[in-house]
Amino acid sequence: MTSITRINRSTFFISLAAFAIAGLLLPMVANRGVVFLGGVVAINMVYGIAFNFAFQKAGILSFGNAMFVAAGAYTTGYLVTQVPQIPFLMVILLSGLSGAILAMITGLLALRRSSGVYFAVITLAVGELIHVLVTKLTFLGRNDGLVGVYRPTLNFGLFEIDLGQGNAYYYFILVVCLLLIAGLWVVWSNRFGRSLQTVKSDEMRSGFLGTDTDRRKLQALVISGAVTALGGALFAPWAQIVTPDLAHWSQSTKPLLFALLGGTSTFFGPAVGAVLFGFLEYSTRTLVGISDLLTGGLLLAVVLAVPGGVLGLIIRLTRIRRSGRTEGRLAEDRT
Amino acid sequence: MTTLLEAKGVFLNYGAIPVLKNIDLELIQGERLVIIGPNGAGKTTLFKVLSGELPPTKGAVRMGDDDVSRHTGFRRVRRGVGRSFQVARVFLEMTVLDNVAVSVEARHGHEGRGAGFFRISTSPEVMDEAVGLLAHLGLSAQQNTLASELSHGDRKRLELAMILALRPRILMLDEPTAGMSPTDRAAAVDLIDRIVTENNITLILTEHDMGVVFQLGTRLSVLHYGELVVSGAPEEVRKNLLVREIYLGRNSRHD
Repeated sequence: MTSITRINRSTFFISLAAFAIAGLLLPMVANRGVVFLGGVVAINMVYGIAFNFAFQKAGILSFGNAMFVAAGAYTTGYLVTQVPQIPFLMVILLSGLSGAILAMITGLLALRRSSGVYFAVITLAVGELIHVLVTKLTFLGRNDGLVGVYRPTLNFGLFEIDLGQGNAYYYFILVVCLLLIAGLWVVWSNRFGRSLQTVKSDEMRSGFLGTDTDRRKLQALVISGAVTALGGALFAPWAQIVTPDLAHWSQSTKPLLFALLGGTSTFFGPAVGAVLFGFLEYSTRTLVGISDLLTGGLLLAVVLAVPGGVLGLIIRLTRIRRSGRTEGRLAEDRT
Repeated sequence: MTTLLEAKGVFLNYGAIPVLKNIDLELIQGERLVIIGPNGAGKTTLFKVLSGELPPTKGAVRMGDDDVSRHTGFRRVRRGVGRSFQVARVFLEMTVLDNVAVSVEARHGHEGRGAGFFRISTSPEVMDEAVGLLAHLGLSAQQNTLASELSHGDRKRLELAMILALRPRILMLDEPTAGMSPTDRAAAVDLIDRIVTENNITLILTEHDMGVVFQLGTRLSVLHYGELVVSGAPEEVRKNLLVREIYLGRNSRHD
């Protein structure tokens, strides 16, 4: 029986280490195109887990991904190109803050009054508003976006790291993404995470245990928004361009796809989904025209055939094998 | 005599329909007040107003010297109110032990007791308290069962354990024995009697079963079409002719 009060840390650390090692080895075996995709997948993992944190832990279905990504990416893009004297790590933090503020405003406007699909539609509407806004604002480059977002130098006083050199920025993305994932795991698993789970499970009972349920949901949304914006911030210098496409609503469907593909019930489900999605995109990249069709078809097949997602299926299969073994042993005992 | 919870001139309308009309009610420390009345009299609605689920349309709910009419449920819980529901509300997808552990943690949270951000699993202190509460309520054997697999009666028991984890001063039970067999009912009444006495809790409950009412209540209030018509010691209320007419007369084994 899975218990939420006795958390198994080793599963988490082994999984995180596996992702870390795979990420570190990638540049040694793959070409630049694949390394670029690897960086995108790492950021997508963060989007997926951040979405699923709000969805699975607090029961908040948000299509706010696009606006949070845009907030982070545009903040970084603008500050890096226009105010280069601000240290890059500060820029990243300010980008996260922009996502947090946007999530806070959306949450205060809508979380109390709506839930489920209704809240999702509101986030979609606010997101479209942001999308239209960025295409109209001259200082954000209107429809052209911000170009020439270079990879700056990290200055630690005693030494500097030039993120523009070789694969430096790729490793930077990797480290920050792993830190973000670890941070999300902490709030997913600790007392705060358990409190969120009570809100999702039965909001009325949770309130009558003395929990301020509105505040909890807002906190969950703000965390999800801030982390997503941090992902967007990492993406801007990686692509070296920020376009209004990032704010388009279709961007918001991505983390949902990752989560459904990998499985929503486990912490790493959406991360697995993001990796699989990366493979799918890569292997269908030459099939111009039918690539989207293939991707869509495969997603449909997974969602219909494996409702718990790929990771959910793997866990189920290992459990069946294990319990099969136990039954076998019991049968031996009896004879 | 200290008044813990008080309703003053409380009205509540659902749309245009008046459900509670000018309710005046005081809950005195240490007493066991039972609200009785036929179905649809407004008992559960009164509970909702007293516990903070619904704000009164008119009038005030007070705790001590403070007007708490606009305080939602969680703020009253933090002032010592523990409330059960007619159909027990527990976290169905969690184990019995986890249900109580998260309740203890919720209390620690609003008492401002830090668990440490990086503490992932629940602290041994919390687990011990949860295990103790389950033993106290006779649920030890089901500790690792999912709450969704519990029987109706055991769910009510679990809900009670979760409320006790909050260490309430006031316990509000909405029909604690509804839908129970006579044996379960007797056990539930004994249990409530025991925990209320042991923990020095003030009790307010609604109940249909007259056996339970007279066994647990030290004071009865009769709700009829949204009005409190009679209030007093159990024996007085039992003798009251009006009450016999509207309630006991048709329904009671104690005639």
